[in-house]
Amino acid sequence: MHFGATLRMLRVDAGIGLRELAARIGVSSAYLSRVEHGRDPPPTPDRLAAIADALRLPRAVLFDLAQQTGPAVSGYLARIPEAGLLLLELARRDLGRAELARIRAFVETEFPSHEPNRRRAQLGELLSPRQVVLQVACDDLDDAIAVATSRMPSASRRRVAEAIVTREREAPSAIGGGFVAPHAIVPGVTETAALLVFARPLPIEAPDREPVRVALVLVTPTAGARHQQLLANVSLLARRGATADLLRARTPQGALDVVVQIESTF
Amino acid sequence: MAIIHDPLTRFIAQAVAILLLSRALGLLARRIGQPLVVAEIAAGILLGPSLFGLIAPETYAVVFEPTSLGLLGLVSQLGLILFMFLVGLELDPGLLAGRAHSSVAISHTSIIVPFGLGAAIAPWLHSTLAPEGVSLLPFTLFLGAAMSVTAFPVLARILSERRLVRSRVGAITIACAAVDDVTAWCLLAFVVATARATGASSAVITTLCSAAYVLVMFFLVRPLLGRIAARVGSREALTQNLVAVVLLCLLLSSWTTELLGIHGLFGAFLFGAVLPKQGGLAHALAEKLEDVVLVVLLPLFFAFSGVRTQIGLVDSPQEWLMCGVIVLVACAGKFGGSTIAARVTGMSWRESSAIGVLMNTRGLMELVVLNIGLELGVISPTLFTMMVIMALVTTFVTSPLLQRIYPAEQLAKDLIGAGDSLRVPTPTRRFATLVCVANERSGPGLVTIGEALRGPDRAEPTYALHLMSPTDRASFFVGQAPEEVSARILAPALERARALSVAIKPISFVSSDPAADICGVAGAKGIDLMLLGWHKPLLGQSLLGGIVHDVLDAAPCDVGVFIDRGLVHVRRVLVPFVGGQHDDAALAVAQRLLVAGAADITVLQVESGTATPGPGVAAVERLREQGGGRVTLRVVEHASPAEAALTESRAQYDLLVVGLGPQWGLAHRRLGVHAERLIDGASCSVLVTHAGPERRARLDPSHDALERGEA
Repeated sequence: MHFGATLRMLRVDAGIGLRELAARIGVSSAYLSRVEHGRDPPPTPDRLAAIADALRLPRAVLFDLAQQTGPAVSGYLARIPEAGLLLLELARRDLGRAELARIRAFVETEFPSHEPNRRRAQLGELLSPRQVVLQVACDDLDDAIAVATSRMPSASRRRVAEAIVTREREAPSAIGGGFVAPHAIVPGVTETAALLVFARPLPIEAPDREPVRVALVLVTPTAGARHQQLLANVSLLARRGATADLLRARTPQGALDVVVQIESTF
Repeated sequence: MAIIHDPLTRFIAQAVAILLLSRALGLLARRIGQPLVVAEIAAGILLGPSLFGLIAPETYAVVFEPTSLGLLGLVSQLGLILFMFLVGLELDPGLLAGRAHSSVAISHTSIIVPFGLGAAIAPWLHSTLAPEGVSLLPFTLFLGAAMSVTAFPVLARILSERRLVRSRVGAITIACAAVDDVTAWCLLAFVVATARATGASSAVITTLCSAAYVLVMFFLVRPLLGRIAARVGSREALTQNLVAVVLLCLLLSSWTTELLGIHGLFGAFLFGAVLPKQGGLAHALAEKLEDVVLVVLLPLFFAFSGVRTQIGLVDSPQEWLMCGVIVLVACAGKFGGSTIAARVTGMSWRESSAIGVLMNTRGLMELVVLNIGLELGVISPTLFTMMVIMALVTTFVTSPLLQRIYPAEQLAKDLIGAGDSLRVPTPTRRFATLVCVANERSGPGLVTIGEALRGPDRAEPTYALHLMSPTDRASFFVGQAPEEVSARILAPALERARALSVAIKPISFVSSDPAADICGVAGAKGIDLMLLGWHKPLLGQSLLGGIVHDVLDAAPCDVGVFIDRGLVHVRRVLVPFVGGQHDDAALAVAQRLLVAGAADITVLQVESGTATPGPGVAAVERLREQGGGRVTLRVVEHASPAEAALTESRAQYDLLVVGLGPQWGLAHRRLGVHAERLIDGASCSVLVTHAGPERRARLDPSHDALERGEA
């Protein structure tokens, strides 16, 4: 997953210009532009926090996307050194996603969290097996968008498809990690999504030069925190390496399970 | 004064004073509902000898020292060049499309009438107000041109501020102002050429060269720019190099027109006008330039005109009378001319006078013209001052008058009535075809028909859709990659497409509900005609059952079901016709075949006596008119239309296009027990057409009922 491309996509959808965001977090727009193009590493934690606030995202999500632990974790590790040793144990055993899910479940029952568990927006809830299309082969992103909208429960597919294509022209949504996230804000539609897994890589340019194998197409009726969160979820899927698992899925339900399982760890 | 000690500090002091005052007045203007430009013109006049020079002559003499005006003039000229470029950029030819008729009528009247009136009072003004040695002809021409100016940019701003752009009045005014602008500038270029020229012949040469230059820009430079613009898809791609290239071309164009003997501003405007408006280029450029030009450079120009405006020059009652006459004539010509022309083209008095008021706005374009006139020495400083007052008055009265004539409530009403038809029209829609390829055999024939249906520009999209059934999956993952399977099935279709040099875009994916997915993709792509292959159904004998049945039920567009009997080309086509929706769809296919150019069509109109001809007979006439000699109409009387069509179809046709209807023995039902006579009996390939919901809604719904009754 390409952090810069994701940042740009989230920024464009938040309706904030490059210069405006740079001014808000106190960096030069040239520097921010270099970050968005991946020529500079992701900014420091406090700047990331400021960016998250500007983009209406939970801070932890942006830290996650930037592959940083963030002050909550690093502070905890500093206070309780044993926590770091526990991580070391996990690393030594090379525990995978499934094993970690079991540990999470254990922690959840043994030490229930006292904080109210804020429900985050989930892509899995927007997708039904009908909205998952496997083995898609086409020559460009416009056609892929048409296939995606053909599976969306909508009365005006053409309008939705054109809105997505128009949004895509404004700023490409290939975010790396094999993912492209075409999307649009279309007033009056019900929030919906479609997941395409390509039979052969889609011939479009990706910021990290990885072949594009998955498209998650998202349509929401309004801009705002929820829209941003859903988009960030797409990037998190890419960040967690969902592409390989999705390519292995043989049924729409199987692909949907991959999404739901990864999202449960957000 | 020590703080002003060299040209640069003086210039900065001037700029500071100008920006401060015009911004401050701008705030005031907004209060009273005036456009910013009124404040800027006023600020310029106040900073000039008319006020600043009167109350503080010493300070004025230091700040606006006569020798320093050259620098101010140069910078404001540069600002104007950029500004005229922006004006050209805002001029979208798309605005004219569809409204050309009334717009051209109104805008030409709104130029000719004020021009005429201006020219009429010219002899009277010439004796007292023309500078020494200026002959009557250039003076008259200039006065006429100056009277007929409309301020396109100010108008655009007023319209967008009052949310009038989408209304009928707004749309027509914008288009008119655009035509006006172009015409007035051509006129002015001619006036400048005449005034500068030593004789009549050099004026003609200048005019001819200018015309040639305009042609070169439109037919050589514009396509070239189009290619550049096509590369600049997104805003991010507008590099500084590209901006540099565009600005360089702008300067060159400006220079060229200056060399040709018409004003450099003309070249800037022309270059802006030919820059393609599609794609992000024009928009991104405008965004980059606008702030600096509008906020910094333009006020300098206003101040520069203001310094040259000396209200003190108009002192005698007689001169004020002349000034009044000029304002009156200007308003009478522009307002009166446009209003009457609009009324004649069939608009209401209210709308017409709103257009008149809007067109009467002179704004800063008038100032641009006047400054050119003053530089040329065609008008005297006194007349210049009078005309500046006229420009200020006509711009000032626009907003309050418009509020009177066209209040917001009225606007709201009109906007509801206006609907979509007045939107900037999209370019003519392309005819998009979706070919559904189910197996290797059905592809080539479908592609052949798809090819025959394509229009002459050959650029219309044709999609080939192949849906894989999920039950195929076992074979996918054991040994055979899925894309290979879909590629194998699409291969014959793509091969035929290559042979016919058709560009086809293949799409394939796994589907458990092919009918829904076919219709879904057609909906998302805005397909006009879907072509399906024929599948032998498992149950019954109906050829139109199964998936085809489901597709016909849900299709968002016309559908053609194709029965291939070795179709290689589409030359001779038979369209049997009785009337009804699906027959109309068959005629639509025939019409597309005509447009594409290769086919000869025979329409067999069957009158059976029992059924009266449907309402679609007029469509046959239209088709005949359109096709010229390539459409033959044969009228026969036969008890059974299907038998008549079958008999005719034996005569060497490539393709039989027939509507899905009981008259042809074809019915839209899931399970048929009777074989479809026409399909079985015909020896050539058959395309069975089914009208989409739009066509069905357009045509008489009673036929729908008739059909259902039979089926």
